[in-house]
Amino acid sequence: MSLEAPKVNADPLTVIRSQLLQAAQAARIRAHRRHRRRTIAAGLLTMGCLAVGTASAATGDFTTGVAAIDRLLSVDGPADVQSGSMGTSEPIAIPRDGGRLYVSAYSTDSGAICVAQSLHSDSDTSGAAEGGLGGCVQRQELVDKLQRGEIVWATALLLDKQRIFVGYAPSVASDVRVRQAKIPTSVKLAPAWRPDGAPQTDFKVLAVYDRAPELATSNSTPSDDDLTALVQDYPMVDAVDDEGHPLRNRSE
Amino acid sequence: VNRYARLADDQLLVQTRDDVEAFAEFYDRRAQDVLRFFLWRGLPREDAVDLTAEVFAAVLTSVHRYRPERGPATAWLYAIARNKLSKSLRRGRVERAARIKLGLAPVSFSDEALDRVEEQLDASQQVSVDQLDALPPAERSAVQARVIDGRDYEGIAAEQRATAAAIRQRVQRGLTKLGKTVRELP
Repeated sequence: MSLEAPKVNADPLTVIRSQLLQAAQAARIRAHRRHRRRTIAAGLLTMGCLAVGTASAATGDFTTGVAAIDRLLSVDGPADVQSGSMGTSEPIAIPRDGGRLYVSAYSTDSGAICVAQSLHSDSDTSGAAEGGLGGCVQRQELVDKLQRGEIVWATALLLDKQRIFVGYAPSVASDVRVRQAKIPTSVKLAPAWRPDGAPQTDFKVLAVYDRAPELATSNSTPSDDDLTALVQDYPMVDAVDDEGHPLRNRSE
Repeated sequence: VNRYARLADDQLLVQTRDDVEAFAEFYDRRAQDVLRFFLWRGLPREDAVDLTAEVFAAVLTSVHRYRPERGPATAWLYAIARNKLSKSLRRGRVERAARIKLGLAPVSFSDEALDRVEEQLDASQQVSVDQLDALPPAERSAVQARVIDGRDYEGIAAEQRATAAAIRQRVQRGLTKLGKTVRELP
């Protein structure tokens, strides 16, 4: 027989608020008592709370809300990087030391287009992957910019010494060129993809990656600020058509 | 009179260390934004609500580490949200560490309750979008990217071929015109 907690019908944010305030008050009282009396009993109370919490920690499996992204991120079983046709764009594979990073786009019910990243290690044969959900762009905003021939950036990652910028290019783009690249930079474009139920939202997922310039030559540990600056330095790129002509309206 | 209403978010977090009511005000200002952050990324609403609870539990358990001089309160809040989302993805289940630490029991909500919270968010979102339509294109685009999509200034600046300072100014100008009824996300 399985025991399931009754479902609460009250406003979730109000219930959470009440729980948090009670817990905060209780924690404050416990801390105050501990401070005043410094007894072992107060310590046991805290341990008791931890134990109760641990016992009730089992929850249902987590999901991203998009089955294909769950498969890409190996949320439920081995990662499936071929799941391009069911709710996600075809993943782009980016080689990295000891494995690959796959990036893919998906559409949400709230009208956003988001990217997901799935990190795979060559040495792990179980198919497990480490995943992450990147930035989201509102669908209409994306459509407007793509129609003007623009590249729309979604997220930037720093993996070891590799920088990876992920975005969206117009579906008619046959290539994306990096302007004024100071170091060798690679570009990958996924095949054109259109989310289900989103007419005129065709686009190509784009990944631009390089060896982060300062990190590639430095053996010292960079500061958090240095690392942040590196991934905020989005490359200047142009989407071009089959004949090499830029798609973006240069008169802007 | 709510004596915390006039305090900025970072002041509320500093006060939270000694006063639970300051936390209540911070929660009231930001809970919907955090919930929207998760729903916007496509999470099922049960998980989005669960993660929202986890984020604010983490605010309570780690607020003593918050340093206002290192950045705005909302940046700290959304760093927690992103971290909780990453951990949940990595482990295949909704992260619960902070709630366990606080001794919070798990709560399961009815479909009706979840419908209501979604409706509230939809309503506030609708107001935002309607208001955005009244702004000039440059400001609308900046506010949209920053407030609705939750993107960082530098990323928006690179995309819109402007400096981060210019984008920041457009967002501030746009929010001022909207009477600041739309809250800014980090």
